[in-house]
Amino acid sequence: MEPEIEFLDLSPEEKILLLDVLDFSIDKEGYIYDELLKERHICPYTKKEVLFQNASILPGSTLVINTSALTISEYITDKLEKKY
Amino acid sequence: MPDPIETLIKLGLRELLSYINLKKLSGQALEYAKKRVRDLWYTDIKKYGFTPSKDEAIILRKISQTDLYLRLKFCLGQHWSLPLIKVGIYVSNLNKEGQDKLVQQIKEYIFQKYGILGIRIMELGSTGVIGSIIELISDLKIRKNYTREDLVREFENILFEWKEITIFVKNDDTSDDVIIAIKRKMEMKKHLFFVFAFGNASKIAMSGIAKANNEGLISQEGYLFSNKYWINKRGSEIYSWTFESVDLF
Repeated sequence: MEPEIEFLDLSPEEKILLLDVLDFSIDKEGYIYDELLKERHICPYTKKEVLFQNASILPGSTLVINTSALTISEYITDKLEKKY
Repeated sequence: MPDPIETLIKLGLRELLSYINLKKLSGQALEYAKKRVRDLWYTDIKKYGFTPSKDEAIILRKISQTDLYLRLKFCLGQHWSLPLIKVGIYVSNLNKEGQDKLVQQIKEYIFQKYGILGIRIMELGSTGVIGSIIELISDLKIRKNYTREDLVREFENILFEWKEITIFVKNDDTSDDVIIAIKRKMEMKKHLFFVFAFGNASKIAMSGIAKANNEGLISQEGYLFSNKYWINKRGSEIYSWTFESVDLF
């Protein structure tokens, strides 16, 4: 059975808090920073750095991605859809 | 005053984030709250996420659960084109104004990563013609008992040869233009090709195909055809005809 998912409506402060819990922070220029790797986080789909205002974390993961219809669709295909 | 930890235990993830933020927790209570957020994030039955494009994400998720999409996925497995097809179907659901704006934005992303083929695949979804392809692929699975590898090969042939195997009838075409275009495809021995017509052009296509059929042209060349009609989300009528060489049967 596919998992129930919920997209949270969060304020910027709440997003920062959640990112902190998941070991990310925001650097001075507004990019997502990986606290474990000690470097700017790179979106696995676009292979680019991720601005906080354009960041998504999609259900069932801690992957931070650059948001576009394409990256969301890629993510859903990879992580949420049943594998046949 | 209630113990904050007792309060935290009772809260769901959404409420917990608000509570931490509003109460400006610190010290042991903050550490406990963060641990609780982490636990809920990883272990709750429900899976959470956030995105600045929530509506878009919800629609894309719903598309991934539609019968049409699941049929294609069942035939092809984890095919690289699936994210593009979902985006195309999503675009087809938007009104004209929204569609023009979004298509402009995402075409650039798609081109960067998937090239011109990616754009073509997205357009299969956005025009609605993906429906005819999915129908054909699922039909081949049943009719010819194709394996997944066969179906992927057939699907990719359609993608790579798209320009050579499609006829899009225009409003200023004549029925004779349609017949000539069909004849040309058959002479090229294409084992599969499609005719598409939108809105008023459908009458021209219908007339040309009916004439070619009545004259026996299609069967003489060893082809069979099937027809499909639907109305897309923008209210345009779309007709498609799939021509298959009898060798494919």
